Amino acid sequence: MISLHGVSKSFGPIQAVEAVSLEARQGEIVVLQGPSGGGKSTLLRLISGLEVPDEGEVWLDGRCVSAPRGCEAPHARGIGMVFQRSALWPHMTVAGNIGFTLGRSAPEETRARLSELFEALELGPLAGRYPSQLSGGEARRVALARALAPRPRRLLLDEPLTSLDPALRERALKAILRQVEETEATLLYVTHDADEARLVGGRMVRMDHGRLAAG
Amino acid sequence: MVYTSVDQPYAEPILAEFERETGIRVRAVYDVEASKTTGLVNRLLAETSSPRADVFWSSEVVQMILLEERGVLAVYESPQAVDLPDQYQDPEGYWTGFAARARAIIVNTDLVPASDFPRGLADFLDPSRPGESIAIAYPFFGTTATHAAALYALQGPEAALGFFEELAGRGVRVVDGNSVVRDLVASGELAFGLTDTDDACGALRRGEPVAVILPDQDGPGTLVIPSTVALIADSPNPEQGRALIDYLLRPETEEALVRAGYSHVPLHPDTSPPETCISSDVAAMEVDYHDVYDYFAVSQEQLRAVFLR
Amino acid sequence: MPDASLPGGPLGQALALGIYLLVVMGPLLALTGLTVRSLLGGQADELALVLPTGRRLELLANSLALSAAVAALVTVEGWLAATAIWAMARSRANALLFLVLPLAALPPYLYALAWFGLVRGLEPLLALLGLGAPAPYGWTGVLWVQGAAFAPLGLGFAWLGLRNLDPDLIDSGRTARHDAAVLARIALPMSAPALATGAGIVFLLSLLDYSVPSLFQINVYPLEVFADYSATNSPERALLMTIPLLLIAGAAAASLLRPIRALTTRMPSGGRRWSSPPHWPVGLITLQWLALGLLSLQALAPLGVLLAQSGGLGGIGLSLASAWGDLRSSLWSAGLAGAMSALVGMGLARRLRNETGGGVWWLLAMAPLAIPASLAGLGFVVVTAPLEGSLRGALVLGPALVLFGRFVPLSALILLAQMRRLDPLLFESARLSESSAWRRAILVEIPLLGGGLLAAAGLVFALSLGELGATLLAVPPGMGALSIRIYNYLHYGASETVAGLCLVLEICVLAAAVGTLALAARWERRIASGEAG
Repeated sequence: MISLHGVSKSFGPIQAVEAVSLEARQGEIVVLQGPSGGGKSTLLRLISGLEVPDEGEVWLDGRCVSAPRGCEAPHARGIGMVFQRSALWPHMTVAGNIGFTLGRSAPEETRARLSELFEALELGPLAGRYPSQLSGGEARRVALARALAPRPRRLLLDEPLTSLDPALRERALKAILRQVEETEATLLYVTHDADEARLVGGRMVRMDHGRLAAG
Repeated sequence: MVYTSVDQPYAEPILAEFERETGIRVRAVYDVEASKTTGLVNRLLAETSSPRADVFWSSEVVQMILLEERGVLAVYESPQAVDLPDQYQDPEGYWTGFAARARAIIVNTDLVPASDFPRGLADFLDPSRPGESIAIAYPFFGTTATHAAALYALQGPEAALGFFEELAGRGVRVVDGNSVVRDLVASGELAFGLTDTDDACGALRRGEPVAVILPDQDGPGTLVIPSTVALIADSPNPEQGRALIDYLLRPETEEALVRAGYSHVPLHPDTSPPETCISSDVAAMEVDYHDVYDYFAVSQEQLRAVFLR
Repeated sequence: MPDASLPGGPLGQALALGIYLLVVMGPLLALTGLTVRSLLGGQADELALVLPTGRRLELLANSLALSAAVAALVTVEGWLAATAIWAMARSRANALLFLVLPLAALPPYLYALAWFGLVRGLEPLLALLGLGAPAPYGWTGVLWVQGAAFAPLGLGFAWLGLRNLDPDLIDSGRTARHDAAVLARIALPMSAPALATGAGIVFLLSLLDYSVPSLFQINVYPLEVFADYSATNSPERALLMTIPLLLIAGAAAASLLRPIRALTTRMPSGGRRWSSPPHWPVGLITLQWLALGLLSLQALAPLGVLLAQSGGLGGIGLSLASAWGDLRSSLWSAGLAGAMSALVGMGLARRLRNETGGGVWWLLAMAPLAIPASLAGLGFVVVTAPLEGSLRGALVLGPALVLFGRFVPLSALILLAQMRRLDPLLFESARLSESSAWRRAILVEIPLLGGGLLAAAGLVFALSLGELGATLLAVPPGMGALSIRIYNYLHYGASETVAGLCLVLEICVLAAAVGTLALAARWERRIASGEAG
């Protein structure tokens, strides 16, 4: 379960997130929708522990993980995250990028999981390539595979299907939703595309100017 | 223009005084001990075809003989040099020695009682004195190199090499210069070392717990190293150069260098004795400086093999 | 091949290239000419000096071991300290960087003085604790002194590597693995070009230096070269014996080309570092604080020891009065070298950025890094010895030219990094609207590159003030230099005067480095806000 209690965050004079309270049960899908610059990405960063709130608290599974006084480490929160930019590590191959998130898993487990993801997201031929050799859409799929790989309890996806053509988009979304269902992960999905939001399903939450819209 | 390897703190006031008295403007180039390249000598050699300097005032003698051999110098016998001893002058008149220093042993009086002071170079090999408490400067540069060549000339190459090999074998510290020997002995890190009188007496004058001993006074004597001055061949301003040489060779200039603490072995018979850092009666090693020069190259090559490894 | 975007046209550019080659490579070429003549004139057996064997091979091994050790120590220390600074609040981080980085310009002999003073000062305290003082000489001393002298470089390049990292790449790793794994598997490999560059430069600086090792009785190959030179007065022999060093240094410099290119290609992240504090393991935090502590001690020790020995403000004043002429000469030479390096560095950086001529321009630009200072000075003497009459008046420019020749690669690198950060369209649009390359340079390029020009000039100025090896041989009669006077007084034993002069030097160097860095940063901010406007 993800709980935000009156969380606020500003960057200098800019109030990026203001007094946001939100709950998402385990296994629930929440779609965060709204215009660019509305604070959606910052909210995801606050939940993942990449930003410290100025006010309020973030709770995961009944424990406080973020507060102005301190933060639990991001890696300890069981989160898989796709950023607005693909942010692939240029010195690692596609397989290396995805494998990094599997940490100290046994080699057979890693291989099996990679194989599964390559098939689901059609990444097989790209395994040995470096990010500089990938197109925008290919890089996006790798970023998605990287977030899904460790089967996290929480998925935070920031516009994960950008740069994908419609057919790939559909297949990728299916892979996401299948994993969410199988692992009962909580999914926070950010998009500014209303059609995509509808396809994802789940509870719609609108965010603008750092605040959640009523209802 | 004068090139000088005499320490700037000593040379600068002398040259300034010359300028004041004569109105002749002096432009000086100083050398740096730590550069190790005998930079001025090599500048003079490089400029042979088109000399820039008028006078070379050196802190020692071997490099001056090198310049003589290479045709860099002009003959000039200054009237001020008539009463200087012949052994410190070039027989052909290319250079003149004055305001000498001597090789000296500097001893830390807190570590070594007076009754046990070293008296000669043989004490550097004394098994009862730990080698690691004794120091010499690298015998490839400056006056230590000259001293090494002098030992080759005096004792013969085999004996001299044997002496240095034994020094190295005993673990005697070989350091970066005479001033480093001085500082290590004065600070108490070492018991005694071989240096020059200006370094040793300077430490004494500053109140360091040291004594200064001229080695082998009852034996072959210590090496006396004169400052030397010479006119550069085909120099741009020979007349002014001669005037400077005359000025430097005056007894008054030598006295000034003695008072300043640079020289402790004045060569003019009329120069006042220095402060009592060392005895005025110095037993000097009897060597011909041209012989010292002749042994310079071979001593350098052999000693590099002993100490640079 | 002339670059149409550069001012001067083909003839002007060829002339500029000729002057550059003459100043930078001329001394070495002159020595080479002398040596070839000597070999052909019957000294061919001296060719054997090129190959070090026996004892000389051991000395070369000593040199390599020392340089590699210093480079490794400095890189590790710099990396650990930089990772700690990386996680600090911006104001604290900047304060620390401003304190340490300008010290890169201080000459190593200041650190040697400080080391001896430190050891002497610590002896009573250590004795109280029942510990012996470290041996001031030997490997401990030389590693400390060279490590201290080059530590700011290690920190600077490590910082550059981290500063250039895309923060999203760090963040995307943090959600998946421990921050320590992110540091080891993401930040460290991506900082590798910067770390390699720093290590390479430190290796070169250490390899070509003999003055500090000899002070600590560590026998290294350059000492052998100059001992031979002292004995034989033969620049030809010196060059032949230096060839192994030149080859190794050249190979090291060539190996730096790729990481330097990578380093100057990356855009800096713009300042966002750890948006939430990293969670480092206790062991890593301990190492980081040890590195920071060591760095602080290395930075503060020279200042502290010199202040203690200088005799207070009165003593410093007296020292300054005694060396005023030399200080003036040094300021003039360093200022001229800085200005020339900045302007020529701009032209070089353009060539490097445009990557015309393949690797040749990179080699030309970086070659001075591989030439020992005293060899450069010696070559200068050989080149200028035949000058007669009124041309000799130009010798007052000698120190500035030699210093320019030594440090222009650093200017070129700073300006290349600067150029890569700027939008190339800014330059392209100027080309479309203004046909005169000179007007473009004066009205567009120099203002846009102002921050980099200031930083380049300031760095070269600071480095030039304390330089000794080349200055010693290039300074004309009647002209002094502060570094020469310091060394002379060091030999004379006037420790109070030496300390006072060293403080004066340190203050000038720090003022130049900090002042130009601050001005450069301010210029950059003004340009950035101007761009946004």
